[in-house]
Amino acid sequence: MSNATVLLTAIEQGDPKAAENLLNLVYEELRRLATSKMAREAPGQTLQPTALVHEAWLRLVGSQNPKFENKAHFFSAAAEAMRRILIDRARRKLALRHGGECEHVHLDGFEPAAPEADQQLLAVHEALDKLSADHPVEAEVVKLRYFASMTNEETAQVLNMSASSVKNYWNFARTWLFREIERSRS
Amino acid sequence: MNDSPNRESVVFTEAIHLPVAERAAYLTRACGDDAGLRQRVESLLQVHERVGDFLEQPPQNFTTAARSDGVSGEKPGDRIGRYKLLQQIGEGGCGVVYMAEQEEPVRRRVALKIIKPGMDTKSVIARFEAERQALALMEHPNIAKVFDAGATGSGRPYFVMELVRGVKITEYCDQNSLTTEERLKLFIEVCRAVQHAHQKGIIHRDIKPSNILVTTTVEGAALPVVIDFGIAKATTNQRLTDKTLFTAFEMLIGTPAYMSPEQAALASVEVDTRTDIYSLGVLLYELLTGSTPFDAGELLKAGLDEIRRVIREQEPVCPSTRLSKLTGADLTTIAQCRRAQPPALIRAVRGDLDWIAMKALEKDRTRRYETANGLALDVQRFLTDETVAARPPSTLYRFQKTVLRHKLIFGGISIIALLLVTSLVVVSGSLAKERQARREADGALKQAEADKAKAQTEAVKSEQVTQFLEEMLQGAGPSIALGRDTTMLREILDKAAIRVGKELTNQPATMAELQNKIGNVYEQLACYDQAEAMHRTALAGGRKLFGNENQEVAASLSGLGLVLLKQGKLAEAEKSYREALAIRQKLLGNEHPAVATTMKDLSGVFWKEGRLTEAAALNQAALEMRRRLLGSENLDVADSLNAVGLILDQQGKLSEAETTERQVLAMRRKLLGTEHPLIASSLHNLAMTLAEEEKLDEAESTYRETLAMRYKLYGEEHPDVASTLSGLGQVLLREGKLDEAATVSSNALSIQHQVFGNEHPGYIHALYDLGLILESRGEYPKAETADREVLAWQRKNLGDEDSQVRAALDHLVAVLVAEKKFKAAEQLLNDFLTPALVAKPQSAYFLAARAKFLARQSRWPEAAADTAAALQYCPTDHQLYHMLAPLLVEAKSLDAYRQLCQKILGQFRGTTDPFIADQMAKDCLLLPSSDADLRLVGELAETAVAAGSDHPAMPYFQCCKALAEYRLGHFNAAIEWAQKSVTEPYPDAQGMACFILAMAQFRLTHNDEAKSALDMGAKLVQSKLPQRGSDDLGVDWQGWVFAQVLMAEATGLIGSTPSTEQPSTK
Repeated sequence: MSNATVLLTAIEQGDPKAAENLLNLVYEELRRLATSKMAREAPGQTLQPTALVHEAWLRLVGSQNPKFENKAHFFSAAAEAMRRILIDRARRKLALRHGGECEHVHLDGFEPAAPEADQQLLAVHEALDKLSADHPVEAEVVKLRYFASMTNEETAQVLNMSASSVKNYWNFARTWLFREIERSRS
Repeated sequence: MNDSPNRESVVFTEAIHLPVAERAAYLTRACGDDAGLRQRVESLLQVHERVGDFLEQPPQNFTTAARSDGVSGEKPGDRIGRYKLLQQIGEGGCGVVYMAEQEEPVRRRVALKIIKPGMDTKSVIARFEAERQALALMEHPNIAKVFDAGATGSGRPYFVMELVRGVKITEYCDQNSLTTEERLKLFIEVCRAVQHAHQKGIIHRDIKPSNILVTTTVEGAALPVVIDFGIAKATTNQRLTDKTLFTAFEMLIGTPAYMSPEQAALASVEVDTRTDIYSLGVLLYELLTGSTPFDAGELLKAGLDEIRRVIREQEPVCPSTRLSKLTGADLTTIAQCRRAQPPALIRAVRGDLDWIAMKALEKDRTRRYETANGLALDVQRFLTDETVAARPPSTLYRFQKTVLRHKLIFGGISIIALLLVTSLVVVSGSLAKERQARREADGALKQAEADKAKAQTEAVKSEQVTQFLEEMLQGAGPSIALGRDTTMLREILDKAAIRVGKELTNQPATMAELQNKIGNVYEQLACYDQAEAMHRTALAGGRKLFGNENQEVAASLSGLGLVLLKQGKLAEAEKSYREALAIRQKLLGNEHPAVATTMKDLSGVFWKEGRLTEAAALNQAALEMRRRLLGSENLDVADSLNAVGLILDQQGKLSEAETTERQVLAMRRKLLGTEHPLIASSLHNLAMTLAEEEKLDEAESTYRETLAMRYKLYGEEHPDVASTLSGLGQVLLREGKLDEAATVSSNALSIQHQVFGNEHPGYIHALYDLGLILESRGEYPKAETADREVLAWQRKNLGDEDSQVRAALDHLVAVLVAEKKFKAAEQLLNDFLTPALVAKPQSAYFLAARAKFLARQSRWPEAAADTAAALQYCPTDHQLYHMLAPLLVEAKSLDAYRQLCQKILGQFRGTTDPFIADQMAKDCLLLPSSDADLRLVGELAETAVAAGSDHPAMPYFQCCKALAEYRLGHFNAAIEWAQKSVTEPYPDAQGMACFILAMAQFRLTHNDEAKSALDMGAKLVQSKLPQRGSDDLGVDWQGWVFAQVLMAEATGLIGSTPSTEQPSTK
């Protein structure tokens, strides 16, 4: 069994450390995948986080006799990992742009994107922490829908709820985050 | 999760679904007194209008450049190349299928499959491309054709297929009320199509009714067409793992009823053409009975794990049984759809058709039809009332044993076989076409240009084939390593070897390269004869083609060298490596990794030949070169260090060897993880050294660790497993765990026999080891058989003068003596000692061996004569002196004995070795009348006790010292030393010490003590040592002689006095 499969099993059995370990594992895999793809593919290509997540699934779990019931844990971890990756990149790019780094910064083959996009990403990220304090389910939906770019249907499958519930939560969360970010800027 | 949704969220969601005008009233109702809630929801409602598509786009910095070209999907009406999209007709995980219109060169409707936007990751593209190639390879009326392929402006690939307008085969059959016979005819066509795909190396893996559409030809005949190779196929240039799983995953969610047991197992690479056979079996079942062997709906309800369990473990009922169990109404419907009466339908299906379907549905795929054609043929036989091949399973069970053995490898290998054959065919085929084209077109082309073009083409193609084969062989490596049965791999290699030899004659360079690679795999599989043949053919071809100085020639020579080394043909191996080295040095310069490798390989030959100094020097040079070129920590350096360890071990520098081996082990673990053939081999070497260091516990546990790893890596029958078993057996033997030692060594032997046959050094070594253990266990007849076989082989292959022969001879003689087959032992020794041999120095060992044998038989003069003859050839061998002295004494050749003592002192006085000093001193002290210079003898005795003070043999040394002191007249000192020795549990030393003690006490007139010491010694001799005149004095015959001689002396001395208790004086 792969590490990921072991960890998924451990999570099911209630091992609290396993979730953190799985997150780290998935994070590393996704970061590696993203970096290598970004470096190789033609400029202008948008990489779908969802494709990356699926590929990570295949690499980490799919190749090893998976227990598919555990998919939810995996995709939740992947969404969180994706969020961290994106935030990480945004921070580093902004830092670079603002001269915040005096050392050589390795950008993993990225072109600097529009600063607004990065600002927004970071803003969403920060606001999301607040959202999850009162509305954990909605925050989870945001992670899957936004950071892992999953569809309502996919998100519904992972969270074991109906697609219309996902849609409602998503709507609420977008509005909530929009308001939060607006407030923090004013 | 949505059981207790947050109130804020619920109220908000409700509110936004209401017209704006109604919201306030709703909020009043919903929030009641909770002003905070109302305020929070209101603030959300205020911004809601402005949220727009906030967050609906994926995060922007996931674009490879700032500019985004707004990738979006195609839609009906769009054009892709010369195709106009009409409507979407299908959608899979990564691709979409459109019905499209082609306008030129002909106007026709086609199916166009394209990767979904954003799904174009590299692996998806590779998969997609593989499908297109797979389809393009096939040309069959029952398979949808590929017309065209291309890529959109944004680089997403697509391909264009024949548009099949038909209905699912099951629906078609029912709609048209086809009889069972008509259904079977359609089914045969499906089988033929699948067979075609298999012949092209393609596995469909998702055969189900919705992928088999039946259309009508212009003549009005039904034509089944297999479609959608989209998620499931093996193609020539793709690794199978990812896709296999991808497919299994989709099937599990999609159509589990058609999934084969091996797909349900979800184990990678385990899927091959027989998976399709299974699915065809399900199709047949459904065509016959109207339902699948397992109900799809029931399966899906049961949950994924249960689906997998059922498919893998549960036997379905026979089709006829299924029919007979249907309710009357259902059965009538099914029968009507087949234009039959229910009883007649059941009768028609019962028997042959039952067996055909069940054979296709076997859980164990080795018991299914081997090919789709085989299945089709059997159905055909049924239709023409011939005997079908399928039979009730019971008659197939005789295969079960073989099947079990082959279970692991069957899947992967047959794919590889198909791939290999296909690849070679494709390449040769396209080459032939190109040649043809050139012949037709280029009368004007100059020959030189043609040659150049040909060379280029060949280079490209060769590279492709080579790459392919390498991939296959890389696949083979692990499968060997994974302990899979390699029988099929061997078969494939055999076939590949023949094909390469026959079909690549027009590409001699490729041929040589492939032959080398095949040779390497043969070598890994321990098929040394085939490996040798391959490399030799490649070598001959290479030399003819390139002359002697060429990389490929060097590669052949290196490969050949390794094989020869493994075969034990050391001289030839050395020659081969030397030539490879010379070529590489010339072509690559003196400083190159390949040169270092060849040097290291050559040093391995020296090592095997026992030329340790040369081996060490060459290996050291290679090690330093590798460090210079590659750095200090890598596998090459570890490899060289490993050789350093082996050489140190062989040189007897055991603690240095252990240190080095531990260093190699640590480096390899760091570089390779916890489990790897190289780590196993490091552990094995370490265990070997530990055993030599007498750290038996540690050696045993290290061998066991090695063994566990090797079992896991190689399975149970591999020479490396055998060699670890042998090592473990030897350790167990030395630990006295004889039963387990015997078991372990027998296993080692049977593996060696299996792999090498009974003419290989590996087998002979194992047999020798086993012989030793059998001897220790007292199983002499078995030991004799083993030893005789070993000896016969060694005499034949190594010649009588080889050192291994001597060891084997000693053991056989020992066993024969133990069996009391003295005549046979003597005969054996006489066989060796021909007059011709006796005339040569090499006879010394055998003379000594016969002398030992004769001595044990108390045949003193003959033994003395043989020893004296041996000593002529080896005048510095202290052991021979230590034999001859007691022999001469027993033979009563006292003059000769005295002369010998003079020689001993001349030769060995001043030695620092306690053993030599002890033995030589004792020899000179044996008789009081030796005339030896007692001062010198005393010095030797002193050396023995001084240098050997912490040695287990110390009691012997003390005994020797006591005797020396006694002969020197130092009786008190003699008593002191003898008393130390007498307490120790070595009967011969103890006996000797008693007699010395007795004599010394007597000289001091302690007659009581003397008498009691003499009695004690006599009792010891009586009870613990063989009787005089016994037919075998044992291996310690020298100790026996010493004890006897001293007993006689003491008895003579003390017995000559009055045997009264009271001495005459006080």
